[in-house]
Amino acid sequence: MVKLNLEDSYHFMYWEETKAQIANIEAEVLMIEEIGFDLESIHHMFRMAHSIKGSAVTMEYKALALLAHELESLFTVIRDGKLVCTHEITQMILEGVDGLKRLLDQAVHTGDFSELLDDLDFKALENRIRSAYSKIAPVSPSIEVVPNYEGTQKIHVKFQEDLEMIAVKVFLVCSAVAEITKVIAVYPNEFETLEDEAFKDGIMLYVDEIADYEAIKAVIFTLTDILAVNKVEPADLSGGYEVDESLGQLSVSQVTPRRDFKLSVAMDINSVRISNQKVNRLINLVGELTLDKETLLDITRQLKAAYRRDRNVQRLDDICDSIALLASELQEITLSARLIPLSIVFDKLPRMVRGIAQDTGKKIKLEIMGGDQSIDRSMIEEIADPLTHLLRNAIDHGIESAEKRRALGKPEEGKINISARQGDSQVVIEIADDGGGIDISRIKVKALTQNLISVEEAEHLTENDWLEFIFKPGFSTAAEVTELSGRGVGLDVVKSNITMINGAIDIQTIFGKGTCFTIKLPLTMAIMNVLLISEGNTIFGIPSSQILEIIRLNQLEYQSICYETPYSRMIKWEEDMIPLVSLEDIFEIKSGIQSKHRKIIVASTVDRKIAIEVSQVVGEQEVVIKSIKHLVGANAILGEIYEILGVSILGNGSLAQIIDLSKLIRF
Amino acid sequence: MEKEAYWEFLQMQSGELRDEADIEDANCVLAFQFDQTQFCIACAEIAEVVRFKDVTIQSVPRTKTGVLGIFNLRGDVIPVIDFEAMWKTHATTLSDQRRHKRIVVVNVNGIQVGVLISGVLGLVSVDLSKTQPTDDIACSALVYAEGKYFKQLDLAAWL
Repeated sequence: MVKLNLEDSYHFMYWEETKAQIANIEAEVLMIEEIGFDLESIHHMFRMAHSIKGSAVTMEYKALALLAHELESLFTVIRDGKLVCTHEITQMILEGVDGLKRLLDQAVHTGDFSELLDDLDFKALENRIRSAYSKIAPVSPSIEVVPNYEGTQKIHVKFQEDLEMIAVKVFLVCSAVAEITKVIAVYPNEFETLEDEAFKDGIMLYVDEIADYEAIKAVIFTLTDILAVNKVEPADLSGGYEVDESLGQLSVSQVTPRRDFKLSVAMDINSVRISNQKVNRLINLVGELTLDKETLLDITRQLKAAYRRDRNVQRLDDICDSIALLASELQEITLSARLIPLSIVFDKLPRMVRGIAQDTGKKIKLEIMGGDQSIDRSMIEEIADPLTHLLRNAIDHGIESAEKRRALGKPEEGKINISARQGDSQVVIEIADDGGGIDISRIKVKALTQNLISVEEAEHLTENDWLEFIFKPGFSTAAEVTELSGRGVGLDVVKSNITMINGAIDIQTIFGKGTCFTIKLPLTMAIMNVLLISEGNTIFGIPSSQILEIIRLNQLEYQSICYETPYSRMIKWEEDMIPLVSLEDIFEIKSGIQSKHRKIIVASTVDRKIAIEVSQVVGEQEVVIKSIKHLVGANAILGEIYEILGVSILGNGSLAQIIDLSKLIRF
Repeated sequence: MEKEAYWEFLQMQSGELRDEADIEDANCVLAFQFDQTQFCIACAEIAEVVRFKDVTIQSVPRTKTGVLGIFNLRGDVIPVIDFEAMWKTHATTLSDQRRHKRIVVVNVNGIQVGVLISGVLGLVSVDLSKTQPTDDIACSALVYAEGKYFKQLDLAAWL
């Protein structure tokens, strides 16, 4: 069997499509479990199983096709009302779904199913599904007659006699014809069975009656091994087929094949698949274009100042305005191409929750909101693991057992809310449970006995400081803490994953009432407006979106709002006391600029406000941020300069170092 | 301007190696001299050579000694280290002798890094049979070319 190569666009298409179809079945089953039986869902699942089977056969994944076939048969009897969709059945379907997933994974990893097929569970599953539906009805035999569709013309295609793999050829014929007109149906539609026998009499294509027959014929003959193409007139239904007019009305099962067929030929026409690399390249290019645009605007401004009356300069100015407009729109659209909805991650959660709930014997109600909120493509992958982890923790350790909840007077069913919403320039995801919460006194005991903190230090810690301990590596891994404090393993990993994508995680808990994790993520990091600042010979940038105010103060004004201690400075800003730092100190630069006025930038980071004293404000510019992550770190070439988020190339080709405000201050 | 420098590099390469057309990359090193010692960098590791005076290096705060900063190489951000300062491990300031200095952009573990050198001798072809080990941790080997031994820099260990 072929190993799926995801670099190959056809393989990739197959893989993505099948994955999506499996996910669809899964979603429908869960829906049935949640809100009860729905015929539409069954129809949908049937179509998906059928498609999976079809494409699996084309890929020659027999095991996958067989399992999908069993599921399809199961759906048929349910659909026909011969089998009631009980909990056992949905469970079985889910197991089937898992089976499909495993097979598909195997196809990607090795392309060899033999190991999986030796797995007894697997065979048992197939048998169980089969016995579930075969008890009720024998597998329905395929339709033996050529259906007759209203408003179609029939085209009979015959192949060379010794042709092998006719199914593939049929597929090619259909694809070719589909280029010209819509293929409404094809008969026999067994091309997934790969049995050449089924096609020995050729195939019948059903296309719109107004379609150009000659063109269709021509396109079919562009393929090899075609013996004959004939238009079949309504009166002349030869070709050895028996026609049953009563089949003119299409039943659902007959509609399905053409839907599937369309699916496999043309993907969703409203969207285009594009590789991450291409999107990134596009964004880089747009970024460079934006830079050139800035330069162009600058030159034009100067020209305009010098030659105010010149007509050509006036035209240049007009065209520059237009280019600026186009460029910013282009940039906006390109950037949005990087954004994908969180539902990609969220949609997987109900199934997971169901699984864990079953394992732990707890009843969980999961509510998800804000799946349409989009975040950057690169972050989607990074956020899935932490979310899963937090959710697992919440069910495993947060939510109490049903008995305990009853005793506490809580509803038996534990509740978990996942929500996403947009704050200013960031996305906020919350995972809240109404479980037992975290007992801070346990954390204290643990931290002290593990000597993570001295008794003196401990006295100064606030509740939040104590909570921070659960994010410390090694801290939460100790089994007894897991049981006592009610929080599991590896929250340090969750935290580091989130910080890696410049996000932040916060925790609020009320002992006995529940816990809420808040994850804040930046919307996108590709292009942003920055305020440029010069310190000595170095240019820094601060993301404009984070800036609240730029204040210019003379010494007197400064003294009236600033409070200095030997170690830190605070200023009073709109009733808030916020920490004041200076770039000179943080970056150990002597700018040597003496000024009567102090320039202070008030900005908000993900979790707090900060005031920054700077030497000189240069101006604002739209920049592309290039990551320098690979250059930063204890052993990396630029050292531990974590305060630098990235570097931007300015209009004149020089570099600006963009500051990550959330790293400027740590306490 | 960077293009011009690259062209110069190519010319330098072709000019010196014209007579040995069949030379393999593995045998070719860029030789330079500092403080009475001859060094070299394997050509296979070199992505590009640019003239120091053609680029503007911006310093990065709190970097360790010898790290000059970063510069813009046609849209890529490249960090630069000063070979001489690293070798002597004392701080350096950008000197005025920029004219003769070159930044050799090398690929180290997938990261491009510029190494500022002066006293470029040119490209030489190495007699691999006479390569000797060295206990200098900053060097991967002593390679023999044109009657002399050169210390070949072990850039991965270095950076």
